[in-house]
Amino acid sequence: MNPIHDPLDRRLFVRHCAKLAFGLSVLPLHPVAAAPRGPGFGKAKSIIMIFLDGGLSHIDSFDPKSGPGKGPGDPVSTKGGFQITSFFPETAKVADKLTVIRSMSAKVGVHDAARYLMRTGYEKRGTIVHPNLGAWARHYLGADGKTLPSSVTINHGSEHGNGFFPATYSPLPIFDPETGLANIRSLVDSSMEQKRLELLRRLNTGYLSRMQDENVRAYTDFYDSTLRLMQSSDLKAFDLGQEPEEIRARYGRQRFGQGCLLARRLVEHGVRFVEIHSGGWDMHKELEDGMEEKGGELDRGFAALVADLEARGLLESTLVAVTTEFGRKPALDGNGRGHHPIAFSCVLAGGGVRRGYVHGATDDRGQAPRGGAVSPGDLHATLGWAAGLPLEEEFTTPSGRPMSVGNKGKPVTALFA
Amino acid sequence: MSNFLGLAVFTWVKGSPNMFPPVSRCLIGWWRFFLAGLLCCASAPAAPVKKKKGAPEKKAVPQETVPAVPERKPAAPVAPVAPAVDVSSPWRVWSDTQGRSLEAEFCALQGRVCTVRTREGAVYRLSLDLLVPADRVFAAAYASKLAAGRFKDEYVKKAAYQIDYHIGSTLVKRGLKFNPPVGEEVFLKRIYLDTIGRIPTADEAAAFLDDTAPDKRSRLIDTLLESPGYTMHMYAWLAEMLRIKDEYGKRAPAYLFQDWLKDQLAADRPWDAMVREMLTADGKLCENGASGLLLRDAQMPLDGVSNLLTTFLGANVACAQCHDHPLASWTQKDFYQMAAFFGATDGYNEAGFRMGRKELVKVAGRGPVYQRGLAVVEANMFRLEDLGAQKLAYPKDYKYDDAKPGGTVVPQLITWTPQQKNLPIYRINTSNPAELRTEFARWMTHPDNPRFATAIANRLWKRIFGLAVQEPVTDLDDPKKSSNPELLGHITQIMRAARFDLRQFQRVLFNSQTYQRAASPAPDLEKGPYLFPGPLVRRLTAEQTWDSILVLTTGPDIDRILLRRGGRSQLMAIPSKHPSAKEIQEAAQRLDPERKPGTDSSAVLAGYEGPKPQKRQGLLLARASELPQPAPETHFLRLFGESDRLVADTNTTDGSVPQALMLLNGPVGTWVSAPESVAVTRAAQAQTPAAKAESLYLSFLGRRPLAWEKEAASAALGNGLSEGDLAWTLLNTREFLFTE
Repeated sequence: MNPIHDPLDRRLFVRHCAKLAFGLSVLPLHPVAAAPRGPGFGKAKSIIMIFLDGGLSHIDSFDPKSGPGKGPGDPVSTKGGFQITSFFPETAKVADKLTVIRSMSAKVGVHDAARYLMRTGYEKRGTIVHPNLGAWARHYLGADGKTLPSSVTINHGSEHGNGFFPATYSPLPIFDPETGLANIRSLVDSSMEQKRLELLRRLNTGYLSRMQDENVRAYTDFYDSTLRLMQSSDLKAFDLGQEPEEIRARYGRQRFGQGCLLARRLVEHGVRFVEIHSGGWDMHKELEDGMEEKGGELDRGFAALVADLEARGLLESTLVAVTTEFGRKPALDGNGRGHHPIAFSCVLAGGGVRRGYVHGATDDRGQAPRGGAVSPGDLHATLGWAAGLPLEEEFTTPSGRPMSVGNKGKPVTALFA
Repeated sequence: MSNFLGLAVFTWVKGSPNMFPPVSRCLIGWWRFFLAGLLCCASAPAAPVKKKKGAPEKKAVPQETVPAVPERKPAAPVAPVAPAVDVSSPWRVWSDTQGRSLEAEFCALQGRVCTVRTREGAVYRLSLDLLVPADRVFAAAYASKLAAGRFKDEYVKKAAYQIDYHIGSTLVKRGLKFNPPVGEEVFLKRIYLDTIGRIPTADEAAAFLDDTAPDKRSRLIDTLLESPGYTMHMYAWLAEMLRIKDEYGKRAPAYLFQDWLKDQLAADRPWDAMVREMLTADGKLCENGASGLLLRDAQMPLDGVSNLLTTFLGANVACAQCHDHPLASWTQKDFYQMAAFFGATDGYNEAGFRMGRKELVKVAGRGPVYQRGLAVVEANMFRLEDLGAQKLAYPKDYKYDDAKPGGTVVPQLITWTPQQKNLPIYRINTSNPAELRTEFARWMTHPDNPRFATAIANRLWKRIFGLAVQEPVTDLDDPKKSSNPELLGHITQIMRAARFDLRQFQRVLFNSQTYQRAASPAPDLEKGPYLFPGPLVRRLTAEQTWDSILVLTTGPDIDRILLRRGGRSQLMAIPSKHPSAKEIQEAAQRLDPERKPGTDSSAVLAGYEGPKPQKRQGLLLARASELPQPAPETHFLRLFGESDRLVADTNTTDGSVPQALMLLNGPVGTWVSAPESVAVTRAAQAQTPAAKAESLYLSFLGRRPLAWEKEAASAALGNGLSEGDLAWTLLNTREFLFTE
C-alpha cells in the first residue's frame, strides 16, 4: 500500500523524524539561489497580508483629497510626512515606518473577480485556479522546518489558496482568533486513539485503492497534516490567552485586532505567510459610519501590529501589506461610493520596504493614477521579490500551462531602500 | 410528543372569513399551537394522546430516538383514485381526530405532511396521521389528480433515453466509452443525497437493498422526490443561489421570504411562476414573502439587476455594469437599458428610516428597547413600491458615444442574436413605468426566452452530475462553448416540456442511464471538456454532510423539524407610512414580550413548528435549511464550505485541516458515537460483532460490509473498541464524506 495515503504510518514516521516539515515534501522542490538579485530581494522572511474585503475607499483613507469628492474625513498630517484621513489617528503615528502605494490600478470592478485578482495576481478563469503567495512560497522555499503550517488565514476560509498546487499547500484557516485552533485535542486517550486510527487506516484501504479522485486524495493528505499538527509542540502560537491583557487591548478587542495579534504570534513561531481578513468595506451607503467603525478597527490593529513588530525587532524581516480588491468612486453617491478599480491604495510596512514613503499619485479627484500605475500582478511580484521568490521562473501546471509569481508583473524595486 | 394537544377543543367556523383574526395574530395565538400539535404527533402516530387542560406547555418536546420507519410510498404518483372522493376543488374543511377543523385548500402532500393554505394566505403543514380518514383519502386523491398532469412514465423513459443518446454519440465521436452501470449500493447513497440531501438510514438502506422488484430504482426516485427532505435539500441549494440571509440591511428579518420559498418548493410551484411572482411582488419584506428576492439588493439596485441576469439567464453582464464588457459582447448601455426595467421601483425607504429613527430616539434612549424598535423601523422600510417614473440615468462619467452622460435610460431588452428581436416575447409595452417590472418578468420567465429554461436546466444538471453542461453556469452567452450543445438543447426542451416543474425535470435526469453509471474522478478541464460518461465523484456539500450526521444522531425525524419564522416578522408590520414612536413601540412589544434582549437562540427556537430540535454543545440539531441563514461563521456548515451568502454560487467543497479536526475531535464525532445516537443504538441491539458491524455500515455508508471489512470491524469490536468507536471510525472514512 502506498504510504503517502496512510495516516498512521506517516504519523509514526513523523515521530521518528521530529524535524520534518508540515506538508508533503521535506525539501524545497526548487532550492533558490542564495545570491540576492537587487535591493530588498529576499529580506521578508514572513508576509502578513491584511485584506480589506469590499473595497477600501482610497480617498477616505490613504489618498485624501480636498476637492468636491472629499469625503467625511479630513486630511491630516502624519509622522511619515504625507497625509492620510482623520479616520486613522494611530496609523498616522507610525506612518514613518510605512510605504503607501497610491497608484494601484486594475480593471475588474466585480467583488468576487477582483478579490481573486488581488489574492492570486491572476484574472479568474473557468478552467484553472491559481495559488496565493503563501502557496508559491511553499513551492519555491519549501516548508519552514517546523511542525506548524507555512500559511495561515485568519477570520476567513482558505479559498484562493493552493490553486494548482497540492491541496495541502492551502492555508490553515483560523475562523476566530479567540478560539484559535478548534478541536485540536483528541477525544480519547492516546492508546484508544491509536486503536481507532489503526482501524480507520484499515477500513479506508479498500476505498482509497479504488478511488483515483484527486479530491479524495487531498482529504487523505489533510488527515495526515492534521494528525501531525496535533503532535506539534508549537500549538501555543495559536493561543491568544498567553498574551498580556494590555497587549490584547492595544490591538483592539474586535476580531480584526485580535487577528493582527495572532498573526504576530504566528510570525514569531516561523509561519511564513499569514492573511488577515476584514469584511464590511463595501460602503455604498453610510460611508462615514462605516469608516468610523471599520476604519477604527483597521487603524488600531494595523498600527499596533507595526509598532509591536518594530519593538520586537521583527519588522525588517516581516512585510505587512494592507490590500483590498479596488477603490471607490470619487463622486459620492448619496452618502456612499461605488466600486472603482481604476485607482486605489495599498500600504506596506517592513520587510525591507522604504519608511515614510509614498509611491505614485492619483489626479486631483482620485480618479486615475498619474503615471506609474501598479497592477495587482506588479504588487504580487513586489511581495514575491521581497520574499525571495524567483519571479522569472515558470512552473508548468499539471495540465501543461506555464505560470509564474505575479503573472509576469514587474516588482516595484523603487519601494526598497 | 403530545403536549401541545391540551387545548380547548374548538371549531373553525366554516365560510365566515370575517371571523378570521389577522394572519399575523393567527400565527402566534392558540392557532399556532393547534398546528404545532398536529405536526408534533407526526412522527408517532400510534402514541396515545394525553389530554391536558390549560395553556400549552412551552418546554421543549422530550427527545426520543424514534426507530426508523421507512417512509411510506406516497400516494401521489400511483395511488388509485377512490371513486367516492370528489376532487373537483382543492378546497375542503379539514378535520383532525380531535374534532378540530380548518377550511383551506390543498397545496401539497410530501410523505406524511400535507400542506394547505387558508383564504388569508396562511400556509399550514398538517400531519396526515392526525387527520380523519376521509381527509387522508382526499389528500392522496388530490395529489394523485395533480400527478396525472405531470410527466407520464413513458415520457420520462424517452426523455432520459435521449439524454443517454446525446452523450453516447459525443463519446463515440471521441473514441470514449460510458462508465459502467453502478450497483444498487452506490445508486442508493447517491440518490438519497441528490434528492433529499442526506444519506439513507440503515432501515431505509436495508429496505431498498432487500427489495427484489425490477422497478425499485424508479419507485425510490418518485418516493424521495415527494418527501419533505426534498424541500429542505432544494431550499439549501436555492439559498446559496439566491443569497438568502436572515437579515437585510442591518437588522430587518427576511424570514417570511424563507417560509414562502419553502412553501413554493413543497407545493411544487413551477420555476417560471415562482420567479415571476418574485419579480412582480409588491409590498413589505415583513408582509409579502415573495418580495424578498428583489429586496435582497434594495440598497444596491444595479448589483441586484446584475445578479438577476447572471443567476436566472446566465447572461455574463457583471462587468458591463461599469464599462463595456472586455470579452463578452455586452455594453454598459445594454446593462443600463436592462436595469431601467427596475428604474421605477423603489426597494428601501431611506428617508422613512431616518424619520423613524428620530421618532424612536425621542422615547427610547439608546438601550435594548431602542435596538428592538430600530429593527421594527428597518423592517418596515424594505418594501417594493412602483414610482410614477423611470428614474435611472446613465452615470455622469459615462464614457461611450452611444448615450448621454446623466441622460435618462430608455428600457430595452437584450438579445443574444439579432433575430431574437422578432420573437413575440420581445413585443413589450414600456409606456407605463409601473408596469415595467411586469413586462420584464413576462419576457424573462417565458418558455421562449432564449436563456431562462436553459439556465435553470443547466444549474440542476450541475447539481446532479457535479458539473454543468456549460460552465460556468453564470455565462451561457455562447451555448456553442458548452461541452455538448445538443445535450444543452435537449435538457432545455425537457425543462420546457415539464412546464418548469423542477421535480419532473429532475425525475428525468435521475432515470437516465447516464446518472446511474459509475462516477468519474475530477476531470482536468484544461485538457478538454468533460463529456459525462457518468456523474462526478463529489465530496458531500456542507449541508449534506451536516444533515447526514444529524440523521445518524437523531434519526429520520430530523426531516420533520421545520423552522418557520415568518409569523414573527409579520408582527413587525406597521400600516402607516411614517410610523410614530407609539406604533413602533407597539410593534416591538408585539414581537415577543417575554423575550429578553440578547437571547437570540431562544427566539430561533420559538420558530420551530412541532417538535423542537435538541440542543447539544450550543448547537441546534436541525437540518441546514432549518437553521439561521447563513450559519454563524464558525459553525460546522461554514467550516465545510457553506457560503456567506454575500455572493451567489460560492459554496465550496474544498478540504482543510479544521474540517479534519472537526471530524476527528469535534462535537459531531461525539454525537454519532454516543450510546444514544440512533446509529449506535441500532447496532447495540444486534447480537454478534458481525451483525453490529453490518448495522453500522448500513447506517454510515448505506451498504453492507464486504467480508474482509466485516472481519476487520468485528475483530476491532472484540479488541476493546465499542460500537461508538466503530461509528467514529466510519464517520472519518473517506467513503462517508464522498459520493461516487
